[in-house]
Amino acid sequence: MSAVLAPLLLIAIAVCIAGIAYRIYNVLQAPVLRHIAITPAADSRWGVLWFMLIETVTFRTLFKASVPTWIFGWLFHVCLLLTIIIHGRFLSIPAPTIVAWLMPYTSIISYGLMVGLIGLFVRRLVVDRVRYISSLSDYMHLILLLVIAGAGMLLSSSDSVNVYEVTLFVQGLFSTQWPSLTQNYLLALHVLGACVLLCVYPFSKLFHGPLMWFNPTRSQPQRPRS
Amino acid sequence: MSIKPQATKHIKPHLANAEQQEALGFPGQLIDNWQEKVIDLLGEKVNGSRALQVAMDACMKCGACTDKCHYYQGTKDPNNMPVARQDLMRSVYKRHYTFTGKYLPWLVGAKELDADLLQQWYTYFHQCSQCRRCSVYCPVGIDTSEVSMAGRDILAQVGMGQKYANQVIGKVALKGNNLGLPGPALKDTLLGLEEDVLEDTGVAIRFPIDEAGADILLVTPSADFFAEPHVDGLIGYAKVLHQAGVSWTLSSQASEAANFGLFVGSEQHTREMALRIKVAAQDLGVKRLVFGECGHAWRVAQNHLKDLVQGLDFLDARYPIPQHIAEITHELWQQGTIRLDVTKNAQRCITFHDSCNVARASTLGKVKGGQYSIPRDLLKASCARYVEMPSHTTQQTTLCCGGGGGLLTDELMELRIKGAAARMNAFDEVIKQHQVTHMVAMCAICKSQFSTIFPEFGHAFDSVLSLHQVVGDALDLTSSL
Amino acid sequence: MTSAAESVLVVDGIPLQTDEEGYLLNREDWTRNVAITMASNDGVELHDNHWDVIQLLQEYYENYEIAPAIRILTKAVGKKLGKDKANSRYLYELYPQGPAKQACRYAGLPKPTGCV
Repeated sequence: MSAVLAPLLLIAIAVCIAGIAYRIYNVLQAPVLRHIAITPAADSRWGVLWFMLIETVTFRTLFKASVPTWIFGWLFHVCLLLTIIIHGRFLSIPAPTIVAWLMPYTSIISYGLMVGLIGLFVRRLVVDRVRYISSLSDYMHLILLLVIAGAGMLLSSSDSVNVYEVTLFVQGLFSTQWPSLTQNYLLALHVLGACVLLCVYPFSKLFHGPLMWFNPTRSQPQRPRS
Repeated sequence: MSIKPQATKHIKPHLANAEQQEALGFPGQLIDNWQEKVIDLLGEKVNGSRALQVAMDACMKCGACTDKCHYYQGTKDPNNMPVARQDLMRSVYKRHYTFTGKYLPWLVGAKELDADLLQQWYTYFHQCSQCRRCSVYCPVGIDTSEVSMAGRDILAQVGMGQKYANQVIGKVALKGNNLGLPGPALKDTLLGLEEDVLEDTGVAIRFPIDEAGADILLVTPSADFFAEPHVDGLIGYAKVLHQAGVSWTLSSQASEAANFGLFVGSEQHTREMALRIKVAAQDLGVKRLVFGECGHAWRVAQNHLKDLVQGLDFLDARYPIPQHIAEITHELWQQGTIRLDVTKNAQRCITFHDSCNVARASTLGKVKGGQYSIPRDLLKASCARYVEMPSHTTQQTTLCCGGGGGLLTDELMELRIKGAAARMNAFDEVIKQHQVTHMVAMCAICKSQFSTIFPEFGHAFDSVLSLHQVVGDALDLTSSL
Repeated sequence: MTSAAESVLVVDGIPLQTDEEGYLLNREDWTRNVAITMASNDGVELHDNHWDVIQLLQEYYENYEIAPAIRILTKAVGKKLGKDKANSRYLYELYPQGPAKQACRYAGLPKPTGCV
């Protein structure tokens, strides 16, 4: 199975990294034409940086706009971040310290992830304004994430995966000989889903996080009065 | 509260005719290869503006903005949801400039630009007042005004300019102001004001024009000469400057602060109009440049002027370049150079409408949030009864008056009335609770819009006042300092 | 397409060109019957005071190529019709759509546009 998954995963990672680089290059080559910061804004670079960090961590603007969306959106993003960190367990045995510290909460984090995703999905279907602006891809992104997360949850709650084997596979991913994996359709689904996500990420709306950092309305200091 | 598709599809501004188009260097009518040209221009614009590129690429369709636009709130037309307004452009952008849009258009909502979609561009890019309230609520800060400005510029370039904005821009080039007020009429109007003020106050207050060597060039919207309550604001500026003993002048060459070039997204016209102001300041040899009460004029002046026109360094560097009249009045009041007496406004109970372009696109004074505190300080010092409207309708989240961004034209009246409904609800609330008598504004468009639509909501047309009208009425003119 | 085409106002059997909003394109076409026709299309009957305002607008336009500012107009109305009428409230009574716009249209003058 590793003969199929390993090359796909490597290609997906390459596409993702190249895609991110391309997108960032693309947005940076577009000039900032005018001072269009939403005021009042910070009046220094550092002030802006602080503002952006707060925004990135708390989604403060979304909270102001819609509390339900904020609850589901923030929950999803935080749980996704924690889930990705927990995947660090496959980097070494024993797992890295921070991962070991998080591992007891794996199942509650994954439930949080699912609740966030389902909440966002239901809102997209139920609120007529949001349904109006949704295209198929908006649902597909959520379904893709639900599939990856669902498969992952099933994998982690069953004993069907040999952690030792997967860790060896991850460690050997960049070598010339890929360590073998026991046939497991659920794992294959999980990894294939992740591959699709990696490829889609830089080229879709999912790239909104990095782009926010380049948005002049947010990243410009306000024009000083001097 | 559900959406009503196509509710305002019938509301659109008059198209500019061939003459009004060609005067600005645009084609006189829809060009034959409009489709190709629109797509090319769109690509150029997206590559040429980081803000527009982020607007096209970063939207995750979260829906946060969907109920924040005053035009959506008043019309329920889903195309007035900021994200859907952007989607009119984004769908075409995706179709031609993204991989998925080219090969899987059905998946990502990419669309071919057809005649119907072009009409929707014209309709709905002219149902955006570019007030940027949605941007305040967008988690990634997408600026819908950048989209509607780019859209309007593209439309003008293929022959679909808007009559009202084109006429205004054309008149500035010919006569120096939006109204087309010629120099002699302007001078006659100002002489009349000197007579009026002398009669009202017993004090000889001057309204100087084209006086070389004055310290200050005051650039103000031409509505300040022409309409009410704007003119009462102009009288207020003159009283303040008189009382402070500052020498100042207006200019018949730069008799307009407003810059409709911004509304139509044309860098060239924005620059040309800004340039008139610089030339007038140079010709008159003034030391300071001061703007009157006009929202987007202040946005352009404060944020863009120095980029648009080079070489303003002949002005006195000890003062900010440019300054807003409210900053000057506030400073004079703080220093005690002018005195304000609340008893002179005892008959009034006032509330303040933050103008979008001052509140969200500019600053005033040196303190953060000065654009909110400076007018409020002045109003509270001028009138004992001052009341705030609900907080989600003021300061950074203020509602547009409903007539900004080049929409202050009669054929859009239905939209202007519906777009003002949210502000009128907030106004009604403070009227009920606190017996508010007047709403104060510091933008020519807000004042004209409110005096026009107030009667639709049961208020007298003259329930809107200028900031400097209230200040001017409270000003103690007896003590010569 | 939005029609940018001009419209026509028929007065005494003669078609006169107007813009989309009903303002005369050629000021020379104006006669008293033009004002009467426009007003009756709006359901308005013109009285002496209406005519006085129309005349003031036309005189001012003759001199300055623009309609008078509201202050100039109210002052002139005051001189002609009495001090109690020297205010914009009275003008709005006469011309509820706004003295500048409605009265200018009846007077055959172009519409004042800008931030007004």
